[in-house]
Amino acid sequence: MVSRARSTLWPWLIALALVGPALAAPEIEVSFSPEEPYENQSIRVTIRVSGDGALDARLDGSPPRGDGLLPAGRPSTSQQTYSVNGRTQSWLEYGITYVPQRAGLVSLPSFTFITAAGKVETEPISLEVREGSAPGARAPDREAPLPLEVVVRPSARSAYLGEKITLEYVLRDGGARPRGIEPDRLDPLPGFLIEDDELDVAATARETTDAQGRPWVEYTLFRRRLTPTRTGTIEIPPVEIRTSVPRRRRDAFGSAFGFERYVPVSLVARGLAIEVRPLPEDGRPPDFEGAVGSFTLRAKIPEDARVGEAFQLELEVSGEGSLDTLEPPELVLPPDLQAYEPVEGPRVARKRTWTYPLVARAPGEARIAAPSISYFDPGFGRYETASVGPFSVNVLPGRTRTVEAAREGPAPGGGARIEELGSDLRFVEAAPRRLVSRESHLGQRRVYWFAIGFPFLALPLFAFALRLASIRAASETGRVARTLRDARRTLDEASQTSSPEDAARCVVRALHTWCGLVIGEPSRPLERSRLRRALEERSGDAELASRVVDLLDRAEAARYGGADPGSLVDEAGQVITQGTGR
Amino acid sequence: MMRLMSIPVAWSTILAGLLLFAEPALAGSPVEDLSRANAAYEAGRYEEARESYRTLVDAGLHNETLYYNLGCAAARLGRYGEAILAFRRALRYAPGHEDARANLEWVRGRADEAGVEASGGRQLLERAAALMPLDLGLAGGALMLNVAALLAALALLRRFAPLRRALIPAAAIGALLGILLLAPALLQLWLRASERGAVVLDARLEARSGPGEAHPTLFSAHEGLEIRVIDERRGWVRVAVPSGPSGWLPCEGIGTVAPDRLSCAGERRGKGISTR
Repeated sequence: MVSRARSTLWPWLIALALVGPALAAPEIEVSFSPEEPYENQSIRVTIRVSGDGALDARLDGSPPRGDGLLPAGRPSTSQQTYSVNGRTQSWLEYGITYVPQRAGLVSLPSFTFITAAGKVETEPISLEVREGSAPGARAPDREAPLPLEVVVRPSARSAYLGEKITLEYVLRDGGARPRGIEPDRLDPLPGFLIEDDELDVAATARETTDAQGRPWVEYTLFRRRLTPTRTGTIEIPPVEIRTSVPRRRRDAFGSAFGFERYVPVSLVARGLAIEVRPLPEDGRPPDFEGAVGSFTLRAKIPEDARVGEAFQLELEVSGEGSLDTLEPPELVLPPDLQAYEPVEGPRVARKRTWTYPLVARAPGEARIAAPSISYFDPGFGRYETASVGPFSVNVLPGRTRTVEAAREGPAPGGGARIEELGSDLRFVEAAPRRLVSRESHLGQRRVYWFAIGFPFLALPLFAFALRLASIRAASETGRVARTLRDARRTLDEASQTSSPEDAARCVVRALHTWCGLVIGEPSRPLERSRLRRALEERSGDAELASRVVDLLDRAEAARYGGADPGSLVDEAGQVITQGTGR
Repeated sequence: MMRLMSIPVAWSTILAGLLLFAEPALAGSPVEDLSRANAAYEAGRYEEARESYRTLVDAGLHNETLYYNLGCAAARLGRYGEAILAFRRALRYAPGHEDARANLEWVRGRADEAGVEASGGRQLLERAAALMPLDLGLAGGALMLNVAALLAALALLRRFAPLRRALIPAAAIGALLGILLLAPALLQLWLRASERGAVVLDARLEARSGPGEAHPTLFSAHEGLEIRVIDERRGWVRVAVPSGPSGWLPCEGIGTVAPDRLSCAGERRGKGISTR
């Protein structure tokens, strides 16, 4: 059990021995320059973190604000790695510029750095800031004070919420002849909407003189238009500007021949605080939308228009202030005048333009109420309303000729010419009395196609049926005629034969032929009484039926020498003629 | 005789039933909805108007007035693809709708699209078909053909033999009138069935060489481009553009002039104009 525990611990002990030295806390030291700064002189604070893992060190949070010291510009870092007696070491330098806010004792709290070994802190720094006139920025070689400074000039130290403030950073040159500046763009400022003007710095040069009569040249480096977005005191931090100035060489040749070299110079524009006041509640118009400044409203509208043809009302708002928050003014129009969505023109400095397309629907005078915008004028400290108008437009009849005009005669000049001034969508249609879906129609119903096809199918069938009936009727008539003809032919044979027996047989056969025709079945097998009933039923003539049966009996008897066959033949002919009507 | 007279009575009853119930006229509510949408349009609330028009279309109401007004609202909102499609649908139901044609040209100009004009022959057929309202042509044609058949049947009967000289010309005239009424209606049905037009509704669509994202892109189609549908497969539609090339576009990005032409039409609902 013990040996097993040892084997488990060994790798951990080896790893600790290897990693242990790397986790040693790095050293940290802090220095600042100059050690006895003047009131308006920037102080460069340099913090060096050295030792293993120093390259990974980073400041915990942002640079701290001191008591009487404010950070200016962005921090810089540099690092180096070197080897001494086979052992590699490295350091990281962190530099930041501070600007004193007052004379006397000022202090900075600790800087905390996070390294792989944990957090390391500097000692708090205290230093004495000397009172008195600032000697100006000095070049690193400290030969002489430079006649060069950067000042910040706000248009106001206090403003209303939404009121624009202009902030100018001005480089004052009393003969130092600086070359190039850094940075070329300033950082955003929390609490403000910022518009930075694009400036040609050289073109902003302006000559001035100070109280001692010394000439200075002023260059506007940056011009920022700040719109406060919250109330209270908003601090604008100092800004560090880096440039370079020419210095004469200190060696004998340089001094003798006037050779110059450029050396970097750091200048600091002081920070300042802006007091932002809320807009007053008293007198705030209901249509106020947050515009602060001083504005004027102009309008352009034609005096005449025609029915159905578009014309334009152009509104222009100009002035100093927050134009961006403005919405296009709403128009109050008569019912016969229709306005479409306004189109905004290109934005130029301190000016916005909206164009309203209008279409008149009826002739006559159309009056448009004065459009207006409400804003807060910080100069007077009260709400104002800018308006223009009202306007009156003389609406003429449309160029399309009316029916009444057509009745009066031809239009002058032919009346067919029009001058097209523009085009627009034609207007929507009014709702019809019935709204029918066009995708559903009769053709989608099978029964419709049956109704279409029915006559084409039924008519030939009807004609065929009629023809068939006709044929059948003709066929029945022929059969009757043939039967009667056979019966009569048999009677003719009877009258021509010399044998009385044969004559009587022919009469019997002819009568049976006729009876079969009448009753629809062979009559020979039937008894006489049944034959009589059948004949009576079919012919409806009882006397005829009795006469036929009697005649048959007598003809049968004549076959064996009874009655005279000649009279039988005549009588049978009469019966057939009477029974068939032919 | 009674049997003979029962034929025309039954015949007339069937036809009357067809004519009475063939047009499923919607209730008064859609008319009121359309009036409200028009009021929103007139007040400049184009988005609200467009939504109201689309609700009616989604309810299955396809009408030239509705599509024309929808096209106006979509055009005011800058939705040129949807506007072009709506105006073309309005012209589908009413080829002689001058306002729809004028607005279609206006929107095409704004969308910078040339539009697809039908061939000269097809335009001639469309104008001929527009001479007669569809249902009137169908109903009138069917009625006249049936009347003609009835007169011809009477002429065959021996009982009406004395009137035969009048019945036969009357039946011929009835048949001719029936054909004249029916022909434009049938032409209109054929034109509708053969409509292959479509419009790109999305701002930009990639046309691919096959039906799927994996196929290479051939060209880009922009909103408002008028195209012709050739084939459809698995949610992709093969289309031809006026300048000649063809490619496959995702079905949900286009709308067909003939509603319900694509099997994937329902997927578009809610994205723009309904393709129902």
